Amino acid sequence: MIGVELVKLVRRPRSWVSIVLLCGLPVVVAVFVAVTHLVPPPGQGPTLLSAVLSNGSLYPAAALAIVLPIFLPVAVAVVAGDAIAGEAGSGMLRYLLARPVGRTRLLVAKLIALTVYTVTAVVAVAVTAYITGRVLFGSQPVAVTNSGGGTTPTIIVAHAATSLSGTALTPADILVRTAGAIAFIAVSMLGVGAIALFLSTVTDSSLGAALGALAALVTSQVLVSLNAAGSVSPYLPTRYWLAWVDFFREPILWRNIDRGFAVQAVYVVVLLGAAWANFATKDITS
Amino acid sequence: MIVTRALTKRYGRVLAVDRVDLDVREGDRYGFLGPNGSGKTTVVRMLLGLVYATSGEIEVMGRPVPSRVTEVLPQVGALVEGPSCYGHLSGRANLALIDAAGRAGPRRTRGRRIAGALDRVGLAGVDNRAVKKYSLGMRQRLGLAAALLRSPRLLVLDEPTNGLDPQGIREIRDLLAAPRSSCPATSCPRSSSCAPGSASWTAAGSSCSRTWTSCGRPPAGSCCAPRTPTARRRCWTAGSRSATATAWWSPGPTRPRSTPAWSARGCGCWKSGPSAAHSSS
Repeated sequence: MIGVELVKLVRRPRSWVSIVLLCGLPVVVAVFVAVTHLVPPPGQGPTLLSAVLSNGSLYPAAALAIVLPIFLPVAVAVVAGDAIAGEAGSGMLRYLLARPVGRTRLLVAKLIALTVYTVTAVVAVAVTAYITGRVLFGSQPVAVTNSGGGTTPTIIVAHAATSLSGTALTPADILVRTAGAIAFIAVSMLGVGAIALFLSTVTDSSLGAALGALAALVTSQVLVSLNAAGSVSPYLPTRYWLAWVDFFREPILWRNIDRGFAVQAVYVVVLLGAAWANFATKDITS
Repeated sequence: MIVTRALTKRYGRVLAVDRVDLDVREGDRYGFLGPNGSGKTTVVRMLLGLVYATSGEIEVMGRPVPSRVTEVLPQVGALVEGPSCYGHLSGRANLALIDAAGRAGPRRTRGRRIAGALDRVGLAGVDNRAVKKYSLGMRQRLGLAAALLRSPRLLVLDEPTNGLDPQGIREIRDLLAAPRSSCPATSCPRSSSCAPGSASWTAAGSSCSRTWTSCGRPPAGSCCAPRTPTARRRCWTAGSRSATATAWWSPGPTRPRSTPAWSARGCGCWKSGPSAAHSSS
């Protein structure tokens, strides 16, 4: 069943259109920035965008910061909301279950397809942004001298960038940190997908499920910014969404990253459990 | 094949199915007749494990449903409340996905199975356009092809001739009337007016070897609502030859379709409350 769901995901034009649009937005921003050489001052605008002019290899991180607030959660919520509700709405759910495909097996297959889509989207944005960054912004070499014990000091020139703390980062370093950021963002988006997947088992309208998930996220964003909601703020799903920026500090600050992973893990487990409990026992009348 | 005992389904306060007893045997072409809203599709969904009964027992091919329904469903082909498909894919792609889902058959013979199913429903020459561009009749045939993919032992078809032209209706009837080796036991819920002996009643029941009727609300002013057993007997033997007072249907031997006086015998209904389908024996 997992194979069938993956084939359905790949053969759905919407999957590719959404990924192309997701990758297109950072490209548009990069073109504007490269042409005008105007970047927001550090601390304002999308995260890490101010560092991009000096080295394009940081652009994947900046691109993820651009798509993260709205675009990426919307795309994931739409795909997740369509998982069960879309099948119910189109009438295919009864035929799938009559094959038979076990209800748990169907839910797991949909979850795996959603995970593949989320990871593919995030990685595609990062890869496209890396190529765009290298092409448009290039990178400035930084001389790193290594005066060892010999008479002639070795000079290694590496294409380095600076971290948020001001230290130099080698390309391998940037790659590892970006991979960590991708993993964190993918898990955060999986939390969004879990909300939409649960709502997808409750309603027969895929749009309703996606909008419900977005409503939950917007509510979370508003409450996070509210001092009055400070007591519940650490437990809201969007609280640690931007904690991946700490991957680009020297040394990496793990506190918020760990909390972010933990919060998303709890939401994923609880909501998937609720989705399974509901789906396995409901009457399929669609 | 299918045995139900006192099958009941209640949605909140609405009693959709009330104590239905069914006995469909292998080789039967069993028809459910009844107007819209009389609980036919609810019974079909309960047979397939989609809807859980409020009370009562269901056994399909000897296995209890829904606890062991996964053992039985590979041998069941179903068309429930109209065909469905992925509109952006072609007919063959749809059948390939459906064939691969669940207890998938061997991949090597998938092409042959799909070609065979399309051939049986008259879609052998269909091209690669998306199903959303199909006509209603073609979609109905595609749904039937999906039900026939695994050459099932039991076919449950809900309004199989809906949307078909007269030629198509004849072809489906011929398909269902084919010898037992190539056509399994079939159970066909179909809407019809609840008037024994009427033309639509006869037409709906004529391709079935046995019928069961759900009537829903008894039509006002008709003889469907007598209170005494004697009156009931008088009413419902009006259109039949040898119905008995206590049997709700008379199985009998399979009648050839050319017999014009065939009509469904007995009525498995009337009950206080609307849209309740039940039979008691």
